[in-house]
Amino acid sequence: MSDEAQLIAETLAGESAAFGQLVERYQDRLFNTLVHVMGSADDALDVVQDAFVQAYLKLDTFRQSSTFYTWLYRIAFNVAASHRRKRRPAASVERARQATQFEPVDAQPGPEDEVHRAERCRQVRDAIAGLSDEYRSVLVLREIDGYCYEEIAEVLDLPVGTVRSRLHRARLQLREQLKEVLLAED
Amino acid sequence: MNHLPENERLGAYLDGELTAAERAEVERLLAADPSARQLVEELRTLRTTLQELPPLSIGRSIRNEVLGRVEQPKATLAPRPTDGDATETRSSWRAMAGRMFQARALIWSGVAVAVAVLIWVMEPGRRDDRLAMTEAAPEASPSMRAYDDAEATGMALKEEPYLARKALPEAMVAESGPAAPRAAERAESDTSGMADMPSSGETRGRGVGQLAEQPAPAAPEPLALPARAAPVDRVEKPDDAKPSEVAESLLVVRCDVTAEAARERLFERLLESRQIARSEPRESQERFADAPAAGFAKRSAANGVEAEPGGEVWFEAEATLGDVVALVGELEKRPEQFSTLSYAYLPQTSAGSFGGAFRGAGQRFGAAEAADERGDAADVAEAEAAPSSALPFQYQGLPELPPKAEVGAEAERLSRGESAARSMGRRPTLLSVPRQRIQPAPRQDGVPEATAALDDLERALSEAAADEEEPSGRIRVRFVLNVVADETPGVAGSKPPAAPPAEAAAVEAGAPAAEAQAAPADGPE
Repeated sequence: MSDEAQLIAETLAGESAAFGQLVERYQDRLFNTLVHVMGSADDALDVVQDAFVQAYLKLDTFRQSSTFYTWLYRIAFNVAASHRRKRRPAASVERARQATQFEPVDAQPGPEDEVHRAERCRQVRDAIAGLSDEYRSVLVLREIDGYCYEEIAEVLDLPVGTVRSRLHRARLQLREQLKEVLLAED
Repeated sequence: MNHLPENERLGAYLDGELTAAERAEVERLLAADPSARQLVEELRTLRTTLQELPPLSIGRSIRNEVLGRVEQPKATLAPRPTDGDATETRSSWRAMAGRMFQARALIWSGVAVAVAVLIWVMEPGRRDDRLAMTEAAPEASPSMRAYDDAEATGMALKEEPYLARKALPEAMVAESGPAAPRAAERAESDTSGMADMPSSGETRGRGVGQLAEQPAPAAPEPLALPARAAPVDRVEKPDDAKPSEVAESLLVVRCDVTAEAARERLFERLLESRQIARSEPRESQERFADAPAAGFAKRSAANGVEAEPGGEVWFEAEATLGDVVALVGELEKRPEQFSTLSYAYLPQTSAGSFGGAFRGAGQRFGAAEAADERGDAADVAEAEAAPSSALPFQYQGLPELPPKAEVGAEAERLSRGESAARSMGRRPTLLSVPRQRIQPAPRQDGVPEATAALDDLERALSEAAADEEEPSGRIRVRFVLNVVADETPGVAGSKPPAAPPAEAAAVEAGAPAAEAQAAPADGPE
């Protein structure tokens, strides 16, 4: 039995501390994804917490035919969709700016580099936040999380062909919005 | 290199998601086409940029917060209240909706009483019968309730009282009850609902606190269809669905289904497997005193039981678009049973008045059909002649469909919407996706057309929802299934002859062979 399966078994046996370990293992990864999906750090944190709570409550239905993390993602994206509906319509760009408040500050580069880098990150995150919900989810899962198409299809409950189509459209939109940034990269 | 499927393959190439053969093909393309090379390079740069975004973290452990919440009694695990701004928006929307529905409920109550009185006065013989029935059976029998419902909705009672009563579907009657009390209840709930409106998660049915009630978000598993769907003599109404809280938008999803799958109630089982709760059709109230009402009653009577080729079965639900997308995905996995799809979305309007003019636009119960039923050839011709292309909406028409029932009816309804819109100085938008053939192609080979169409629709809906400040993710959805002969699925416009009643009954009675066919041809991955 893998470590993860062990933690799940212990949780189901009533050891909630074991679930605490799962929370700590995945909270930041999930948060990073959801900040981009939600466009707001506060909303992302809410969704992360709610997703873990729901995962705990539904853990007995987890059949382990996928990884716990993928299963958790499916829950999180359902929760996120619900949150988004409640919050609509808010200015996504503002949300993205809010998200950048959580930008980690790297002490290594010089001040100008740091400013430049933070500005570029802000632009990119603004652009992601400007995508429609369905495009953004697919793009974030692919580019931020590195999920393959099959996994994205599983998390979002979509056909693989739709994942491919949405991903491509999302990229084309993003490319248009980030022309200047991308030129600078070149 | 502007062709989208080609472009998509370039993206998939970058992602390493192509087969060896596809990859070789793309590499040949890249060698020959500079614009393709440029696009790949740009996509590669974009990917690098995205992947270089520094990861964000919470900066502390949320372990105790999560465990603190899960260790509370379940009853207290309600979703957190939303922030003030969102709540305020929702409250104002609800207040507006509440006012609208309150007024509407009062109107309908008045109309119901007026019609009842009218019939009472005009039909003295039957009045006596009714008096006897009422005295003998204070608890309304289904047939009595059908009668009451018919009175309240005014459905064709003037012309064909008995026919209309017979035609009223049990499906509508079983859970609807006497109409006047129902209208009163609705008025009451609409009024009181404003005061103690539960939080959004509770009312929408898809809130955080209710995820536990959703289908297990676990790993995909073979579709666990209920062994056999219950007969359609009761319409389950979602516990949490209050009609007044679901947007008045209507999405019509039309699909061809083989007679065998219809008899096996495969679609209903898919609805159940997706936990999409069917709701009471509200058309009867909305189409009050309208000519097509007679057509509606006839079709309603066929709901769920008339599975012979040429028949039509339809359902209403209040669902999220995600639910619909998932359901359509299930249909696409079964091209042997479900062969074509089309959609029409009739958006919510800021003033409910002309929204009503649109509500029926995605259906077949239009003026042409009603005129046909009346035997009025001139009206049929006129309704059919209205060209959809001349209409000012973003409406793509239903080009493959037979002219009478579809285009004529659509055009007539749109014309009404047009005049209403003009009078309000505003142009509404009707989003429609033409009929698409479901292709039994492997999913990895591309997006099935129907899914792609729904994809477009979904995006448009998102934009429309944002424009309308529609706070709910749930919309009314009407699924209309055209029953086609088993051997000719997807033949647009074909109306195969109905099976002889005796033969149909035989199939209905002994369905073991059909059972196998109704099993999912291709379960979820």
